[in-house]
Amino acid sequence: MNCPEWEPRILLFLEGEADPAAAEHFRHCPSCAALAGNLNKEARALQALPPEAAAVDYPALRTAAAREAVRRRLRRRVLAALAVAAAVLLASRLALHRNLPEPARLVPVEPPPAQVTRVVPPIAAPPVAAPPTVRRAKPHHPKPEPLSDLDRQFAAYLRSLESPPHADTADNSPEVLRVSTSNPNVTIIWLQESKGTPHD
Amino acid sequence: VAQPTAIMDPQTAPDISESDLVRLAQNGSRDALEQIIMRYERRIFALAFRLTGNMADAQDAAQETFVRLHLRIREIQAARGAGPWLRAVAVNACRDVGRRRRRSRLIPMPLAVADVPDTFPDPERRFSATETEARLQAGLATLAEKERAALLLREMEGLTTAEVARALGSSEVTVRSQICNARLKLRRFFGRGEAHR
Repeated sequence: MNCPEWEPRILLFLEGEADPAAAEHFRHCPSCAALAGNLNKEARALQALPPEAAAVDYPALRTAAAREAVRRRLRRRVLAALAVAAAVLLASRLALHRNLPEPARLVPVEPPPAQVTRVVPPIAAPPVAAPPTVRRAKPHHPKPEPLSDLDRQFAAYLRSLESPPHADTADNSPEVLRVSTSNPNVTIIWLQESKGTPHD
Repeated sequence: VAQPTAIMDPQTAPDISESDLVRLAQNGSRDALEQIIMRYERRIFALAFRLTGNMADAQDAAQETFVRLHLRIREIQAARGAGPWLRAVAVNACRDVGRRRRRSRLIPMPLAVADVPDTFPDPERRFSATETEARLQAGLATLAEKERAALLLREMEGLTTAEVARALGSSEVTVRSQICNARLKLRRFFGRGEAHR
């Protein structure tokens, strides 16, 4: 082959593509004519059945193909039946679902205002039992019990707080308080009797 | 076109047209389907063998082609016959078998040469045929899958460019280019072999 640059065009020309230049070249080029001859030879070789084609057990091949076709057809039918069953089941479930009572409708609630005053519920006061009715007792002055030492000490302490230190010596005469007013004719005199000791 | 009737028995009427056979098969005649398969089985196996390069894959692909014929007989246009449909399906089946083989990483079974019947009584012719076949297979193995399919459909089955394009689902321009590339590669492969002699 001496025309490698023409080969692709010659092949396309032989394949039926219109190429006048390639046709002209092919007419005058012995190398390209030889290429066409070799291509024909190879085409004839390809057209012949390979010897292996005679070694095949064709009846067995046909039987196997028929069996496989039956198997696939059956599988297809089973799958189709399963699909139908699944669809029916789904449809029945959907129908059941539709018959259920409607769920409670949700009412949209407006959001609360920005400032919320929290109202604390008043704490209920525990029930108060009615005070027991007590008979008013007549005031009486029970005889004081003899003071214990501790009581005496406490009374002495109270006296020390109420009266000045010299009061220990004072008598029970009433205290006199004179208040002079702006009017020289008016003078307020406040007399207070001495309360005596707590034990009087 | 006259509608075939049930009284046409494919077994007893071997000269029945292929279109009628297809119609009968589409109407449920198993005998007609069998007849179609018998008409094409050798060609389909040969095509599959050239495409896959080994006996086991070729048998798988041929069987798959006929399984699909059983299942999809109604897809075939009766007027065109079963041939174009079967060839296209065979090419696809070979592709599927090849993919499955690659996925499973199985090593193709070696060809059982001893099983091949002796169709050439003359030893010299037999050697020549075996050698030619081996070289042809080696040359085809150098082609890309689509190039090989396009070339084989053209050369083995005698399809036009348009028919090959339809079978392969490609455009005519693509198919023409694939056929030319395949021829050129094959010629170079054989040219190298001739130069070494």
